[in-house]
Amino acid sequence: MSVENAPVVDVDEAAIPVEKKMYYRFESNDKKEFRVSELAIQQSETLNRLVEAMGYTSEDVENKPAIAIENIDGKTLKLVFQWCEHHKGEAIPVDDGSVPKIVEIPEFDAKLMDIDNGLLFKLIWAADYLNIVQLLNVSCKKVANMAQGKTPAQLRRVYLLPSDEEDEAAKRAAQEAQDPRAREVEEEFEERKRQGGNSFF
Amino acid sequence: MAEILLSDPITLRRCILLECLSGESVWTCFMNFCNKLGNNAIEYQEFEYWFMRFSRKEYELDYNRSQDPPTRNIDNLPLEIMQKVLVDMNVKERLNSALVCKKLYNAVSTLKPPYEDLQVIIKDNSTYLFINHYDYFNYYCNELSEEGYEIGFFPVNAIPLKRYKDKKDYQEEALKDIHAFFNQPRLELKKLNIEKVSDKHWNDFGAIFEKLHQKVKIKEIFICTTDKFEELQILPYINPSFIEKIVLKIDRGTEDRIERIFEMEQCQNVKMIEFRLDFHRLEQFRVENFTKFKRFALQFSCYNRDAEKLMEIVKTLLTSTTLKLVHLDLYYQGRVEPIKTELDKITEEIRGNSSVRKFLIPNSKEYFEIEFIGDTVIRIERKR
Repeated sequence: MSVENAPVVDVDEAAIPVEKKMYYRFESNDKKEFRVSELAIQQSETLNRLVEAMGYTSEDVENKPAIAIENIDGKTLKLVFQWCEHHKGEAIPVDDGSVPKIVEIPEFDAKLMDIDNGLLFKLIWAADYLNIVQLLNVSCKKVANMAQGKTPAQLRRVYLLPSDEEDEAAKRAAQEAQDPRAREVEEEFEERKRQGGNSFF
Repeated sequence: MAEILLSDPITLRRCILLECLSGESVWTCFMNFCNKLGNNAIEYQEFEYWFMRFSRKEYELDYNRSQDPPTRNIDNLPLEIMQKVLVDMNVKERLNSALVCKKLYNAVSTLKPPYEDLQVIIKDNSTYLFINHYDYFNYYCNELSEEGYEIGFFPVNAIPLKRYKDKKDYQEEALKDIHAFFNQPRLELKKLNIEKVSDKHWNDFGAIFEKLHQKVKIKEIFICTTDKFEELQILPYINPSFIEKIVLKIDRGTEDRIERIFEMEQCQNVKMIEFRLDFHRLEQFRVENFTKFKRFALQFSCYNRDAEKLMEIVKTLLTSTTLKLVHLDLYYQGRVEPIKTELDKITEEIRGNSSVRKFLIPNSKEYFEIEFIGDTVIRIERKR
């Protein structure tokens, strides 16, 4: 079943300003400012609720300070808002887990995500934080596609995973945190590695 | 030469630019780069960073990266996002990812595995493990194997996902993998088919189940057993609240054996237990051994065509006080007709349906509905 056919929540058409478009101003954590249309903001559940709660008028959005998004830098936020503007007015997919979804990456999204992994992982994090369902879908799909035809060792390089030393430090931290599952996972993982690093395929 | 290139960042970036201009994907260009300058010539993320800049037509070779905000990696992502990424992968990609790092391994183990159907064939010198009903398979063999899948057993172009060939420890490897398949915390199999396990490997195979961290969730299990009571070795490790159907191919249905199967928790509430009787003569067969099961099926693939004996079996079933449902598969065409003729004498016709008849149970409001399905199957079901 394609995403297009998945159950959707209709975008609130009544909320679309007909005569005068309202643009909100947002500021990234490195003080970059962005103007984003009200319709584009609806793609983000977090931002949509925020602006609704603020109840700004068209004068307020011009005169009051830009809304600060503390956790996201300008480079990432630029990508997020480019995506929201391109997809404004589109239905938001509902992922209730009842039907397995097949995500397809549209051409615009593919081009937007033609970025290095460091930035892509930040984009995913931002999509999750701002609750932009479809951006999260396509960006996760992009990461999943990277696994095609790669061995575990190659994936380690692609996914920017920490060195063995950092891994050891993380292991110690996990044990200190006394996560009951940590030791079990450790043992299972080490067992697989002892088998020569082969997968069971 | 490579050392000179690698020691000069600007030259190195020029090399990346040249790769970028080839028009290939970033991974292909990275592999080409490493082939030319050494596998550890550059970290992937460094290569990818410059490659993507050049792709965006940002050609400043002396750009200062330290101006950029810090990046993230997959390890920084929350578990639910990792799960979302993993769900989008196919079977092989997901399980390869599990071996990348502990965090991904943990994330994979929280997901329902992407396989629902397993079939195990363990011969003396080779082992096959079919995944999702022949979609994929693993193949393991020692040097004595006759390469079954290449000689017509499968399509000529069938390529195993994993091929562990001509290795002395092939069986150890196969058993480890089978254990790994079963030992997934969220595994829910629709079907497990233990099609064949050679005598010399049965004990090792059975031992896999003893080592599992939890009882396996399987809806339908088929076990091809012999006179070694192998089902008693496997069934106790199946989740009794999940199993719906058990199929046992047995060569003897002795009272003691059937009694031990009946006593197992896994067999008590199962919707259907089917016995495929793998012997040639009916003389030793006693249907009374099976009537403890309220719902069961018998398949008579034996050559004996003794209609009288088969009718005797049906009559015995009709006297049972506990039986709810039985399916008798007489396997060969022509066996049902004489029984139907005999049953016509002691049953009533159900109006409007010539294939269904009614056997009234004496001193009871209940009756047995008898249906003839196709050319070989008789269904007997208690009704009120």
